[in-house]
Amino acid sequence: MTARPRLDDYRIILAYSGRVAIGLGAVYAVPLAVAALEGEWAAFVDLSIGCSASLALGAALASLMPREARPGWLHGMVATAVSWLLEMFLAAIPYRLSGHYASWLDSLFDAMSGFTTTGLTLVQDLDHLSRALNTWRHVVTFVGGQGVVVLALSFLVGGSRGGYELYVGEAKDERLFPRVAHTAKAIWKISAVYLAVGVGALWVAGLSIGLPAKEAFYHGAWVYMAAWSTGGFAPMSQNVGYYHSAVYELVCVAFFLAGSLNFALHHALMTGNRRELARNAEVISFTVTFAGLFTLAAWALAGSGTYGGIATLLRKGFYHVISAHTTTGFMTVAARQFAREWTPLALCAMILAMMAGGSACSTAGGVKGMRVAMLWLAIRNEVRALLLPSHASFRRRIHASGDRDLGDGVVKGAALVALLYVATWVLATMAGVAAGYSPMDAAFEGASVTGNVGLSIGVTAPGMPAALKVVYLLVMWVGRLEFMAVLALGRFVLSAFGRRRP
Amino acid sequence: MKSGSARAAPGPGGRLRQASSGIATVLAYAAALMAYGFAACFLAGMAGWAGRLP
Amino acid sequence: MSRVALAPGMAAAALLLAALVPAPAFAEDPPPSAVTDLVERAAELDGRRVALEGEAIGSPMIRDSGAWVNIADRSGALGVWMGAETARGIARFGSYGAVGDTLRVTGVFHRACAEHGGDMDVHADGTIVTAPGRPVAHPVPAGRVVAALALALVAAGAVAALAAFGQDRGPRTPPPGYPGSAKSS
Repeated sequence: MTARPRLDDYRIILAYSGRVAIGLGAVYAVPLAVAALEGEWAAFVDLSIGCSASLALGAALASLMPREARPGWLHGMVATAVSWLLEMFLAAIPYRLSGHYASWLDSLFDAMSGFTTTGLTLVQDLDHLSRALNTWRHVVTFVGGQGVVVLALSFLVGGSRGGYELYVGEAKDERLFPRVAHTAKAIWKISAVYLAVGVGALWVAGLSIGLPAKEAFYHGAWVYMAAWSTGGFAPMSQNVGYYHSAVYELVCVAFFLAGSLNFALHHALMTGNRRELARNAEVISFTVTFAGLFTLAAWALAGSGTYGGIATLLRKGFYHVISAHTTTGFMTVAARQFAREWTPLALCAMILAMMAGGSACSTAGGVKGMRVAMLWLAIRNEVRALLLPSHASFRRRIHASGDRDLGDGVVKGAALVALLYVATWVLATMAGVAAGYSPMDAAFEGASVTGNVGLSIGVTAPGMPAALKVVYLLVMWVGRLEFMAVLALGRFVLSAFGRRRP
Repeated sequence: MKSGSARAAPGPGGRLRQASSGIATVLAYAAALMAYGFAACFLAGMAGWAGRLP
Repeated sequence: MSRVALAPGMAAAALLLAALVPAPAFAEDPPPSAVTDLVERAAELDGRRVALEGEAIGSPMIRDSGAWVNIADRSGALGVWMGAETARGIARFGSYGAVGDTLRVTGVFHRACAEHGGDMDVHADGTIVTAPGRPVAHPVPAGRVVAALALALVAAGAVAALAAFGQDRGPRTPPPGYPGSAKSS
């Protein structure tokens, strides 16, 4: 692409975004079916407006694709960033129409929180939300977890070129198959298998804790979608605390942990390579950081007397640390309990867990285990090189679904993204402090938005300053796309308005 | 996937068995983490609660 | 809409009834606290008797030795542990189609209940319905239906036009020189 974008560049980007929007329109079928089934006609009309808007706008944009298009990396990246913004607007329509959100900004915040699988919410009176709209919230987070681009790739972009660029733009870079469309389909297959198992398990768990059969099914489906996508939405205002059940929490942990694992790892495990689990660098990284951070949190919580027994320490301490580390954001306490009852040391462990995050190419957010492992191995390699004679050489590799070279370029990439995450967290924290929240509250909520976690210490509420809502919304977007796509969009916009280089 | 494609493609029944063994492996990992959690609660809890004693 | 709102007169009569029949209040019963107050003052109130007034939401969850009923006031929601029979006596729970019965609960507050895995809860010893719930109708605004139908027509037209004339397969020439592009299809 030349310094200044040409008309075709805009057309390619808009056309790709249009295809993703058509995909979103198709996904609207799920909550529409629930609305029809439950006779929730007011919700049906609201959802149909969102659906029609997505299809109409998507089709109009998709028709812009030029005949002799040559899509490249910048197109793919920019289209991804633009798609996520467009999806946010299109998904927010039924939210705003439902009357459960105080403003358009709140609706947009919730849509972005859903797509990025964050799980912070500004919904009001959640306990009286229609089943159809609750389904939509959870479908949004489920689709966002697999990736809206992955969705579009598997159904629409199909055999066309440019798919891989879009796919990478969405912070997924594993190829399960040479063709990216096959990879996207494999991701959906893995999710579909887990969907069946997970909804079934949560349905049974729901029945066992006394929910009526139909409620147990709906709650099972909603909570499963939020768990697998490491989203953290729940159908009731108390989040998972509504269920008051160790069994329900345990089943949730199993599925949000599964969701935080790399799709390539799932693929390996599901095609008979079970030993991969023990060798995978990301699994080792997650296990080590989780064990360390949880031990720290448990020690802090036990020492401060916040939780006075093994059972309570497990159900409150373990649950929230693993919910944070997988970037899920399910909670069984009120948000303000973190602020009032958890000690600063325990909160620091939570912040580190949220920043570290789950696996790359999963539904999780954060710096991600892959980069943590890469940076750790790079440091170890450096130390090893120091101790060896200068002419000695050794192989620098990392094992994650196959051995990979851990060259300087790879390490640099991991270090840059990790640095950008930390910088974003600092900015989000400073924004919170500027809005008048305590540094600890701002740091906790900042880590939650940066890592797409969704745990709240009480900052995120409909009454928070609008400017902070906007900052959090943008941070969620940037964090989910792992910067590259958004940076590409920034460069694109600059080059559009900048002076043409000689 | 190097490891996956090297194997002979299983039949439908075998694929189902492989998929469920994959899920079982993930669940076993979850169980192992929970077991660690229990142990850590026990040990850290003991240390923490002991630290609070006068 | 299949559900019809209760006649306003009936609702008013029920409210009046609730007001006329005095609740069997304990002499030492505290005034009802808001849920946020309980959260904010949890350490201070831990193990003390509190009162709580709010709407029963969701569904009761009957367990072996009792039942969970979640109660929401304007400030938040909290789990209440009560006898199964008491929970069965609550006629209506809040949902999309209904406002639940308003309960006034008195009982012992736990910041992190040892019996219930550290949940913040109230173990109720007295539960009365202070206002009955009611079904809620959600009428569909006619204007919105018209707008939805019009938009659906536009969408159908746009999608049909794209399918008929649009270049659905995307570009055919591979972009030269970009990494990944040579392998991606």
